[in-house]
Amino acid sequence: MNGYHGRILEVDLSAQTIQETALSEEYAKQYIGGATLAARLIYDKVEEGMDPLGPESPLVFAVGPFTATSIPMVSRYAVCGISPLTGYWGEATSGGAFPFRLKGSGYDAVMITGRADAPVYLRLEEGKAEIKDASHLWGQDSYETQETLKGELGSDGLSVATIGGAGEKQLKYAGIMNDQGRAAGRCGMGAIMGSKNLKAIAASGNLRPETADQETVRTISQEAVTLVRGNLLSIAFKEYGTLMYMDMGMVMGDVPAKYFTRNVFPVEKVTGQALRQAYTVENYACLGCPVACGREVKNFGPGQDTVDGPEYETAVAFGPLCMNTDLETIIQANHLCNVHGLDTISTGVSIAYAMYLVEQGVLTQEQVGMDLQWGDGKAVVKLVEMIVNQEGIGKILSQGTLAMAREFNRDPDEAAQVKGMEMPMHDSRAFHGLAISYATGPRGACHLKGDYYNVDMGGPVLEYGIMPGERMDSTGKGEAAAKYQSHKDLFDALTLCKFSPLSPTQLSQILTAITGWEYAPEDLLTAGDRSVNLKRAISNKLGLNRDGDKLPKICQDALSEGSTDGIEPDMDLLLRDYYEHRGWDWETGRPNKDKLVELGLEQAARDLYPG
Amino acid sequence: MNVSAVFHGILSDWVGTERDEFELPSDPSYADLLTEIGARYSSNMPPQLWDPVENNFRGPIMASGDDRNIDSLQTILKDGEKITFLLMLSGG
Repeated sequence: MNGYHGRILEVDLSAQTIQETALSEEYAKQYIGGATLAARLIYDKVEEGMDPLGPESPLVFAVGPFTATSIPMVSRYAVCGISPLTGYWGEATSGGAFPFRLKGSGYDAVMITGRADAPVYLRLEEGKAEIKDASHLWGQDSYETQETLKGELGSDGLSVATIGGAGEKQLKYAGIMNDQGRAAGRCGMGAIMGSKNLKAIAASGNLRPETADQETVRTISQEAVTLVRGNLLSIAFKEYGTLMYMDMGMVMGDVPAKYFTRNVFPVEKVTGQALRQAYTVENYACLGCPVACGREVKNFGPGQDTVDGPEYETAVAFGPLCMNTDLETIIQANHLCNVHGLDTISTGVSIAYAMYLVEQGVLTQEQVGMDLQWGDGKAVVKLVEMIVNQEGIGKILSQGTLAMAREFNRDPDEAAQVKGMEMPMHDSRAFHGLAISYATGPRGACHLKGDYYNVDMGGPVLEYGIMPGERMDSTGKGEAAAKYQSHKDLFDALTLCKFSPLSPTQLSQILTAITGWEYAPEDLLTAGDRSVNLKRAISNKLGLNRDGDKLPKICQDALSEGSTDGIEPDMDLLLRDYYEHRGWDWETGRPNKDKLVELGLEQAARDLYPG
Repeated sequence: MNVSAVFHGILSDWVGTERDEFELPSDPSYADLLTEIGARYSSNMPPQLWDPVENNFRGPIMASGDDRNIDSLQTILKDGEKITFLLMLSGG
């Protein structure tokens, strides 16, 4: 099968068994790869009431047909399961070199179930797999673990994905780290690894599947590299990283401040330019990427020759959201999260909520263990440490904002989350297409599937008729956002970076050339629709209904300043429009049976509509 | 008459200044301002950002004046008006 190894690895850590199954042509065609293929594998394992951290809960690492090809911006992998943070479908992606190594190890996907009696890691090498003792790694942070395994196994061509202390402790928003500071941060996939006593996956190898039309792939790759290099956005990312958006976002009212209650902030203190002026900053590139948007801060402090990041989301979460203008503490907080494997977004939002609760008089200095005030960067760093160490107030902060609201008997509409996952650092009041994407996103509030700001700031998707419009007008945005969400969901099946400028026409040409199967742009949109609906069906099986498709009021109610002054998205209009286009049932929040059948999801149709 | 131009965010790095003043003939158009900007700063800007033939930004730029968006090259600028240029790039 061109583009695929045709091999899925199934690991049962309880039984300590490893077996290979064949990836069928039908699965490859229907579900492409990455997070969508993972969803199909996970679908069969999911049962109502399943504990995300129970041994039967599946965890799947997957790559796709684009991974490790000469196409630029494709070194990404997906890791998927049931999110311990939301209780529904969970997925995270990351870049670096690990995706190349995972693909090179000879598998399209690795599905892990069970729980090892003692810590283990998984060694994947050129078509062979082995469960190995990780007792000596347990307790090591994410950087130490990578270094230790490279020392033991040889660093040449080896890459490691690992959890830190947060994952070992099964903290609900623990992430998975690879290639130093690259993070599959969201949804708590690191907690699932921890629950299985799985410390790491070490992958190496250079196995590559056949390509149907290598010459065409080579030609398109060269065109794509030229396109990427000549793209102004790529140049901005290369120079300033994702922080380049900070000041533009603030003008648009898109950068949330003071726990989503403000959007005016002295942002010039935490921009990409400010970072470059204050520190020696170098670029980091995922393997094969000509953009290199990643940041590395050099000579940050004693014993810290290189510190990864911070990226935009992290800098806002520890910066404006906490009213913190101090870059040094933003970098420190980010580094702590990387070292221990914590999602920086959920961490920052939870800390900002604690600050908000102190201001509201709900949390006392005694409860927090310090005098917690807006803008106190050192307190932000201290709270990250308390979360990691499960010390004092850190215990409840580590469970996310929804759990915090419940713990302190607050209105859940005050918890900045959707379905339990914390809001990213784009404000839903500034782009109404973003608002509906957050409310309905397959994994909860997700800026990567629903980055509608890219559309309304001048980035149309011509093949699908998705055109820029008035950003703070809700009319018609539900349908457009649904299409865009499906388009972007497919990126995680192809394992394509969200910053790739390739069009659906180019993507379909590439996929056709790699696999030899004919894909047109509309086929890709259908595949994206299928992916979103499959993930929705998984969450429906786990109990999700329409009640989960809402924004918290703290992130929806109009502010009285900045460019969104007095404006809020019309969520009822947006949601009805979205549901109608999706073919979802308004009463149950499930995809209609006909829609599931139309997309080839007959099993889901039978499960959600028995009899 | 006098018009000021403000280059916001990373645009200021690429243009080479955060703000500048331009002495223009009476009833100048937005195109006249762009011509002056090109004369002073085009050599600083990456080719993906500035088109020296058209004398205009090639990249996605939003220009806003005093209480209005400037969406036409023929728009007549007012004396003392401040034109803010914002690069419409997003991500992160």
